Amino acid sequence: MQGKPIATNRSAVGIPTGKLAIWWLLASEIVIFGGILAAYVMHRIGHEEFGSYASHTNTMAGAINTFVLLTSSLFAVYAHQAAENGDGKKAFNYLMLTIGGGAIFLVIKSMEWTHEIHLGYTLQSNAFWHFYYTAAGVHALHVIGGMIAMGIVAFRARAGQELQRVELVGIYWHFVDVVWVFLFPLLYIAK
Amino acid sequence: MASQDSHHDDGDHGHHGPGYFKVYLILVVLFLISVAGPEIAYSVEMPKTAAKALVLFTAFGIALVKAYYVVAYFMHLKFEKKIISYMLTVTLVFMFLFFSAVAPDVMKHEGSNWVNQAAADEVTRALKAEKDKLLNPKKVVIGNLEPMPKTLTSFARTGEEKYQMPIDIAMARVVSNGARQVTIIVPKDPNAATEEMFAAAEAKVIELAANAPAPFVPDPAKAAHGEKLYTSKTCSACHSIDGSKIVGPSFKGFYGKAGITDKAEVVVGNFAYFSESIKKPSEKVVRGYAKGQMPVLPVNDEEIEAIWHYVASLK
Repeated sequence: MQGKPIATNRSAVGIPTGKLAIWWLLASEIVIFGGILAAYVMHRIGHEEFGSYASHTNTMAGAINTFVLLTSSLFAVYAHQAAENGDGKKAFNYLMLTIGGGAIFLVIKSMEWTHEIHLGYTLQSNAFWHFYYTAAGVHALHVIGGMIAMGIVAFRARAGQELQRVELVGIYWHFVDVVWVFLFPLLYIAK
Repeated sequence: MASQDSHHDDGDHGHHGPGYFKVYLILVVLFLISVAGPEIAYSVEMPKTAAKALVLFTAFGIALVKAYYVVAYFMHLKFEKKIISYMLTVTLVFMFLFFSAVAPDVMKHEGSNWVNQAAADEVTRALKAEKDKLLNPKKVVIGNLEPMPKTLTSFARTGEEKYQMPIDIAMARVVSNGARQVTIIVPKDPNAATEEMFAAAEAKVIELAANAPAPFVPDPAKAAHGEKLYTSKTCSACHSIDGSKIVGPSFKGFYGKAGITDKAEVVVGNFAYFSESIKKPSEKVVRGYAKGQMPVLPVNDEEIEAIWHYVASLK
């Protein structure tokens, strides 16, 4: 533990700084996703026709993706457990499974979107689709970012370093999962 | 890192409530209910309010419960210092305040002193379009209208419910999308006659009709022989003499009548055209008749002349 920045060793509120930072990040994400989704809900209530536009979304794909993310969150939490026990290699494996879940999510999403774009429902089609692609797109970007961060943490953990980060990247991943839990009914089920 | 009690191996954080896998199972069950609820609401007959309530309760209500489980147990928030929960609550409260403040302006389209005409119009337009779609059958136009494509190979959306795609894919789409009206546009032959050419041909036909030729005087012997040949050479199988259409044009009033081929050529009912049509049947076929129908028949020049004397005297 030499040469580390002061911030990692001190904390004003008794919470490890890394963890506090992640939670601050998530608080700011509440603004991003809360904003998109609340705006969507308000527009939805004012525009009855969104219901019929939404009927063109693929509920089955959305449901499978929900399950995929839930399961990947389970792996993330197992990774955290392994890291807590000091087993960096096991943590690495579980994090890789989590990243795999993210990859499956993205593959299903891209197949979905390809089909919808082929049918002519693009980002610019109408207000519902603005929201759909923006919300799901921003979410997908967060998934990609999370996968990258998780990859970095995983490789470090395998080398037995910075194991506390496994829990932190897991917290971020669970947040990505929770956002999707709300996105799914709002975009796919409300028809 | 908090670690007061010993850890069990089966996934239980001894001091931390239900094990991770148990939580996961709860989440999966909730997920299944949240998907089943709307499915039931949409497929089973029930009053609209009940359906809405079922969807709200299962899809959204359960979303909240699932979120709670993930946040509380997977993210450990239940066991963290309270300050984090307070942080998040403050953020949520402010978000809620912000949106409550603007919600009336967004959700509603008119207030005491204002009207959001654009939004209101859009809703009316969209609902009307939806109704129209239900009343009018879905039309799928296959093939671009202008400019005419050389081949129908690419797949492009060219307008509302209009696509340009290969015909086999289009047919599959008709079946799967339930389109009830399909327009198939075959790529135009670049060498085909244009509208102007046809118009010019029609003008010429009118001009020719104005200058009728001298009436035909048949040789009675040739005409009688020709009448027999007309049947024996199977001409009558496809060409009537009373004006009715069989496979080929009727020969009633054939002599001197002008016609237009599908290449916008003007042909006149004279001996030259008649004999050419027998020797090369699909060369100059008049509009409205299929090419390649007339076979090359075994007739010699003398027989052609005899048949001509018969045909040309048909009024």
